[in-house]
Amino acid sequence: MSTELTAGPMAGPIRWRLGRGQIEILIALLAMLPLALFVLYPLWTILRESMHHPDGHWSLDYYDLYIRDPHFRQTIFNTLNVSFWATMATVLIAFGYAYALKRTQAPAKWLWHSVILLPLFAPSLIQALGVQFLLGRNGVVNRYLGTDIDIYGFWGILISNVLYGLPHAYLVLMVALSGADARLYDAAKMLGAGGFKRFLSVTLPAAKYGILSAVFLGFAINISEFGNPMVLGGDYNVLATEIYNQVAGQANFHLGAVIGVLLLLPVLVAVVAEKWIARRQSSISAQATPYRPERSWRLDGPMLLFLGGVAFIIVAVMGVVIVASFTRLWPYNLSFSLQHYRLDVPGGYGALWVSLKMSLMAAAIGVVVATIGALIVQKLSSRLRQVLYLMSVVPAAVPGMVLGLGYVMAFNNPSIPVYWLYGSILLLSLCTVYHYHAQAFLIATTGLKQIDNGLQEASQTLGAGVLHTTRHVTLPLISPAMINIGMFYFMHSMATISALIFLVAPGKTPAAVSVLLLNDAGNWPQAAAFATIIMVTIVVAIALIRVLVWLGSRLMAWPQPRALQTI
Amino acid sequence: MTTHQAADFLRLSGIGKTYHGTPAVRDIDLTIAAGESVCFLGPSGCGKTTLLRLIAGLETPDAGHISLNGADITATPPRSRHFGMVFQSYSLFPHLTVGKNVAYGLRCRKWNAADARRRVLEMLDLVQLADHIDKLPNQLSGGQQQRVALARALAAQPHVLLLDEPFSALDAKVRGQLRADVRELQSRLGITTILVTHDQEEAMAVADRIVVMNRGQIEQIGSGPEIYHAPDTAFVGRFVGDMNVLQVLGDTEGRLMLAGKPLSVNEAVRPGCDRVGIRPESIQLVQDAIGPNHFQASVLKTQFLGKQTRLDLLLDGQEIQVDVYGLRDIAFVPGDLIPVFLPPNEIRPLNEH
Repeated sequence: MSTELTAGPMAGPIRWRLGRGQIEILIALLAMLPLALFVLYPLWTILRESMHHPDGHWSLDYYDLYIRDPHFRQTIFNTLNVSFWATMATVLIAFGYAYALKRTQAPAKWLWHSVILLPLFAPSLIQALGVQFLLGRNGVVNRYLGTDIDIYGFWGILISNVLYGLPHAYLVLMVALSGADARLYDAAKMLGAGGFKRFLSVTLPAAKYGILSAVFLGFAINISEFGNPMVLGGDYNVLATEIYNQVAGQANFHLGAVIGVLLLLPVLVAVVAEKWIARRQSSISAQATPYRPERSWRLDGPMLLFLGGVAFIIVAVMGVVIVASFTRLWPYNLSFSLQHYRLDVPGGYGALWVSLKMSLMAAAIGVVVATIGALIVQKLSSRLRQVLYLMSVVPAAVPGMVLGLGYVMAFNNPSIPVYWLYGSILLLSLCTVYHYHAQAFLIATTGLKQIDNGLQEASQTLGAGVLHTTRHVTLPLISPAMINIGMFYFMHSMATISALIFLVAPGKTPAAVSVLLLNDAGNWPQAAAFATIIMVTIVVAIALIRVLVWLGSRLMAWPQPRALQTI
Repeated sequence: MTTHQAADFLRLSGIGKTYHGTPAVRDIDLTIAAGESVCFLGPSGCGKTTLLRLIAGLETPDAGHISLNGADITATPPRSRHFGMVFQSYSLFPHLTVGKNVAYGLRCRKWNAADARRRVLEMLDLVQLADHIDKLPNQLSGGQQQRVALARALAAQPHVLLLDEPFSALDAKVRGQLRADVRELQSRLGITTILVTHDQEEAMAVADRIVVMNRGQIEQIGSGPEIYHAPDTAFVGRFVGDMNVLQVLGDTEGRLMLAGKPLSVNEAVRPGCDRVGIRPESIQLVQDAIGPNHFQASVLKTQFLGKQTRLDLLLDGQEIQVDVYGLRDIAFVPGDLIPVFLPPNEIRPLNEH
C-alpha cells in the first residue's frame, strides 16, 4: 500500500517525460528533414561530385587540376580582388550615408532612406543593365561625350556590385550608428576633444562591430553575386560566372562542383565571422541618453551633397533602365516607343506568369516553413534546438549559384524519390525558399521573441493545450512577422537569378532569369523592359499587401504590424 | 591653475533657456567665488541640470551672459572653457583603459607624453585606483568608475569642476564614502566646484552654499543651516526637510492671527504676509491651551516610527504634523483634543515668489 502511494505519483511524470522526449525528437525531425533534403543534401552532392570519380574512387584530383591551371588561378584572384575593393567601397559609402542620416541634421532624411533601399526592389542585375546603358559600349556617356570608356571587366563589376550591396551594408550600419550615447559625446567635449577626435574616440569604437559586420556581409554578397559579372564582367572571369560557364557551357559538372566548393568556403567564413561579430555589437544601456545631432551647416551641407550624389547615382542607374525600355533604340533613337514591351521572344510574358506563380508559391511555402521552424526551435530543449537553429541559418552561407548547382546535381537523378520535382516550378519555389531560409527564419524568430512569454503561459494555465495556445494566441500575435516573411519571399523570388539559373527549363523560365538571357542574347532593350515590369510587379504587390494589411487592421482588428520590414 | 581670488570668479547674469516654448531656466543671477563649493538643489525638472549644462557650454543660453574671471564665455565652446565634468552615469569611454580615460583630456590639451603619464599616475593615486590603471571600465565597480571619472575630470587642472548628480547611480554606502572623498578633494585642491543634486543631505554634506531651485528659478541661496532653519519660501521649507505651512491672518503692521488668537513671531514680518512655516519637531505638546502661542488641536492619526512618534493634528481647520521624541506611552485616540505650543523663535514667516 505504502509503496504504491509513493510510486504512483512518481511513475506518472517519468513515463510522461519519456513520451515527451520522443515526441520532441519526432517534431524536431519534422523540421529537420526538409532542411536536410533541400539544403544539406544538395551541398553534399556538390562535395561528392567534386571528389568522386566515375570509376568510384575518391580523390582531390579535380581540385589539383583546377589549382594548377593558371587561368583558374587568375579567376580566383579576380574574384577576391574585385570583391575586396567592392566591399571596401560599399562599406565606406554606406557608412557615410548612414552617418549622414543618423548623426547630422541633413534635410529630407526619409527621401534618402527610401532611395538607398530601392535596389532591394529590383532584380540584382538592374544595376548592371543601368551601368551598361550609361557607361557601356553603347552607353550615353560614350555616345554623347565622345569618350571611349571600356566599362566591361573589373570596374563594371565593381560599380554594379557596390550599387547592389549598398542597401544591405547601409541597413547594418544604420543599426550600428543608431546606438549613440550622448553622454559620452558630452564627456569628450568637456575634456577638450574636437569634432574629429570625438568621431575617432566615441563614434568609431561604438560602431566598430557594426562596421566589421557590414564588411563581412558585403564580402559574402559581392563574392557570390552572379548577375552583375555576367553582364559587365567581359573577360574578367570570377568564380560565380565560371561555375555557370563550366556547367551550362561545357557540362563540366566536376569542375563546376570544385568551383562551387571553392566559392562556398570564403562565404562560409565571412558569414560565420559576421554572425560572431554581430553578437558582440554591444547593445546600448537603458540609461543612455540618445544622441541628438545639432544643426550645423558646416557638416550638414557637405553631407547633403554626399547624400544627394549617391542617391542621384542610384536613381540614375535604375532610372536609365526604365527610360531605355521606353525608347525606340537606346541611345541612338530616343523617341518614345512601347515596342519592347511586346516581349516577342520565346517565353515572353509567360515568364512573368512563371515568376508570379513561383513567387506566390515561395511566399506561401516560405511563411509556413519559417514560422513552423521558429515555433519548433522555440519549444525544443537545448541540444536539439542548437542543431535545428544551425541547420536553419546555414543557407545564409550558401551562395545562390552553389545551391542551384547542388539542386541540379541532386534532383536531376531518377534514382531519388523526389525526382518528379525536377523541372517543375515547385522546385524553383523550394530552391528560393531554402536559399533565403536563414533571413526568413530570423524574422520569424524575432517575431516570436517579441511576444510576451507570459501570454503563452497564461493561456496554458487557463487550461489550453500547446496546439490551442499556438493557434489562438501565438499565431495571431506573430501574424505581422508572417506578413513580413511573405513579402520578403515574394520580393526575393521575383528578383533572384543566381540559384535558379541552373534550374530553368523551356516554359519554366522565371522573368528575372529571362532578363539575363535576353541581355546575353544582345536583346538589351527587351531586357530593360522586362526588368522594369519586374520592378513594377514587386512594388505593386507590396503596395497591395500593405493596403490589405491596413484595411484588415482597420476593419477586422488584425494586429497592426510593428514595422513592415522591406528586406 | 589660474585661481582668481575674486568673489565673482564665475558670474551668471540674466540666464534663460527655453526648450520648445517651455522655459527650463529663467532670469538666473548668481556669482560664485573662486574655490567655493556650490550646490544646485531641487526636484527633477527644476532646471538645475540645464543650468549646469549651460555653465559647461553643452547648451547655449537664449538670454544672459556667463563670465569667468571677468571674461565673457557665453559663446565659448565647451572644450575651450576648460571645465571638468563628472556625469551621473560615469560616461567613461568603454573601449579605453582607466589610464587612457584619465589621459584623454590631457592628450586633447596637447600635454607631452611624459607629463601626461606623471599626471595620470598622480590622479589615480589621488582617487586610490593606481592599481587599476590597465583595467577597462566594465571591470570596475560603480564607485570605482565614478572615481576614475573624477580623476579624468580633474586631470587637466580645470578652472571649475562640474558634478551632475554624480552619486545617484551608486548604492547608499558607496555614495556616502564618495561624497566624503569629493568634499575632501575639493577642499584640498581648492577647486571651484558646482554640484547638482536632488538630495538635500548630499547638498548639505558637500556644499558651502546651496542654491535651491524650483521651476527654472532660484528660490533661495544660503548655507546649509540657513536653508534649513530659515527657509524663505514654503517650497524651500518643504523640500529641505518637512515643514508645516499654516495659513494666518496678517494685518498691515505685521501682526499675525491664528485661530482667532494673536500669533507672536520673533522674526520681523513683512506686511501682507499670510503664511508661516514651522517644522514638525519644533511644535511642543503642553498641558493647557492657555497662554501666548498655545492652541487647541484635535488628533487625526498617530504613527509610531521608533525614535519619534508622528502626530497628524487638525489646528484651526488645517492639517499639521508634529514629531514627538522621547515620549513612551502616547495613547491618543482620533478626536482627542490636545494643546500645542508653537515657539515664536521657531516660526518662519514665508514669502512667495
